[in-house]
Amino acid sequence: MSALLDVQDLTVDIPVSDGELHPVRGISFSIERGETLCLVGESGCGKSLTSLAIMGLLPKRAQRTARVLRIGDLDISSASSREMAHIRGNSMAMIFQEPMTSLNPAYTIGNQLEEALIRHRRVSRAKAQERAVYLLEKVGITGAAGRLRQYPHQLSGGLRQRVMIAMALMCGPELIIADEPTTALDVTIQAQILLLLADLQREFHMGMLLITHDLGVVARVADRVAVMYAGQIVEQGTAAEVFERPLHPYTRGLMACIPIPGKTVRGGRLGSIPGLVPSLIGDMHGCAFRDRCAHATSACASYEAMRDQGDGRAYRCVMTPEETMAASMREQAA
Amino acid sequence: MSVILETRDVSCVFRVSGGFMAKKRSLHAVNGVSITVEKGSVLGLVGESGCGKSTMAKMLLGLQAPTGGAVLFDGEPLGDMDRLARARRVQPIFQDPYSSLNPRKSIEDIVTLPLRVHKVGGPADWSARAAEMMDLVGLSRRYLTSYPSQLSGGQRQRVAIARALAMKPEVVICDEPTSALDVSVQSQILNLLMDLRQELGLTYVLISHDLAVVEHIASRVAVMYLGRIVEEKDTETLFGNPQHPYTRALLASVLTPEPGKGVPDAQLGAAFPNPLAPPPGCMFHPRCVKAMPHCSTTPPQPVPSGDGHVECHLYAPARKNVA
Repeated sequence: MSALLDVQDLTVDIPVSDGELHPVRGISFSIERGETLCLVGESGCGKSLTSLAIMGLLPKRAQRTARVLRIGDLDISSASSREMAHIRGNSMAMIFQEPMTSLNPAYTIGNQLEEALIRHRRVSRAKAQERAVYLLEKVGITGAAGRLRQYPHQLSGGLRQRVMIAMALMCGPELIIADEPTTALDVTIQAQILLLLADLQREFHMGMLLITHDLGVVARVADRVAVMYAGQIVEQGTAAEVFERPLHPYTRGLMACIPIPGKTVRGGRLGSIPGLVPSLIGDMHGCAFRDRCAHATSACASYEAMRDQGDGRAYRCVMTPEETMAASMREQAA
Repeated sequence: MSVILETRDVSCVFRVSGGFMAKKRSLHAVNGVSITVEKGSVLGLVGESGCGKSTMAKMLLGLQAPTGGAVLFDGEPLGDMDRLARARRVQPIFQDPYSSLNPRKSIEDIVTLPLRVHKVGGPADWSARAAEMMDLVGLSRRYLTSYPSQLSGGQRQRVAIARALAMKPEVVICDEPTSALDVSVQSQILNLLMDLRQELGLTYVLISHDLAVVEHIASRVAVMYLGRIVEEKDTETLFGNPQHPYTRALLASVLTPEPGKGVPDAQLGAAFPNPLAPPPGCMFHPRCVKAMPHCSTTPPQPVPSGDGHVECHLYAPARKNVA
């Protein structure tokens, strides 16, 4: 079976006043039905633009290129904006970070829920309403029929995010793209929303691309993980592999930064990554992380190939797996 | 160790509009809270949004007058202190370094503003002090002439810290100091805060929704729910053996980076209640898995637990006799 979403060599270029910005520099990954891929990285690494590029929602002046960009049998890379409007919301749907700002305050919940279905499937309002109530109940909202007449401001943050999820599910999409879906929520609500997403994904057998900066979220929900740095995927693999045996120095750096109860010494120093993210304007060569890496050598200035370890495990570093393990031991000793 | 900051049964009630022609209603943002912060310690204040943590922060800073009880700084009521005297001793660090720095002022102006307000020294001293503060927070002095927009989030938060420490305060109230930052920057700021505490003997009140951060740097933790402290004790005991069902649910919701464990179900069910119409009895009972019949009628009293207290009927002395 071929993958649900296939992305090969995706790039995004944006012309800016002092040259060309390359926020996404050749990203390749695929997602199967029923699988969750987490795209993890810090602000500015290009994770959100990657999702917008897939959805065809990039700002106008941004240029998108891809060798392959496909969902199911539909080729996104060559789709016209009319075809794209049909794919969006129908085959794939997006859940944004800010449920406060991504719902229209001037329309009722019902209106916004029903719109997609009426547009894409040309069903009657009554039919659409029926599905809206069904999905609101599915996402755990009580008194669903009454909620349809409410406006976004009448709901709490957690409820709004549930409405967003219901909205994304209206047309029964095959792929959900969730960009930081729980970042604005309390920890207790975060856990509930993530549980809900996982349940719905299982029930409807959807693929999910989850974008987050939170390693805790990644560890708990991802089947596979792709770590992004400066517009590239620097490490990829199953969640268990990436967390237990991170092969890229940046991945290890990130993990050392967060306090882990029971592992980090309370009150002790946390790891940190020195330096700043490189500018993504103009031509770039070699490893983008080399200026901040403790193991950088002169070879890093020209090396940027992905080392394929088989089974979807890969990393972008000049060090061999043996060398990288030795480096990791040295980091821990330091 | 001596107590530097203390609240005694402090409350803060806001009168909010009930709607057109409707009577005003009372919102008990903070409802009878007594905490003590020892000199040189870090008190972590945790809870969901709307529980009253930020109102607590404002009262501890003297920016919000309590409607009941008192906030004492070194035994003296904070309300009786002169505004400048207060600002010399307690300073805030806010969450968003993008909105808490004046975009039209240079970094030097921002860092030295407290000195000018307090009329300490002259221009030559200010420059020297600004340079000194930059060294202290680990920023290059060349940024003194920069503007906030030219700095990254982490650098801005360092500027905010430098400004807070310019007058050598004794207590710093940190309201979500790293929530707006990337993980790699967050760890740098946390390391800096811990170093500064040691170097300058600072006392922190750390307000955060990130329990891993609180567990890492706090010496004591107070868990807030709807304006009450439901459990308060030293960090190790609280995280090792949480007593209150709410503390347990909160800790269970934390997603530690351990793959394969899945998303925990804290079974908190219903959302955070409306603070304008708090539930009767124990305010947590509608979401509590261990709720008993009398929880919905009788508010629990604080019971000593560990070296602090817990406020829950499960641990009430009368119940122990029955059990």
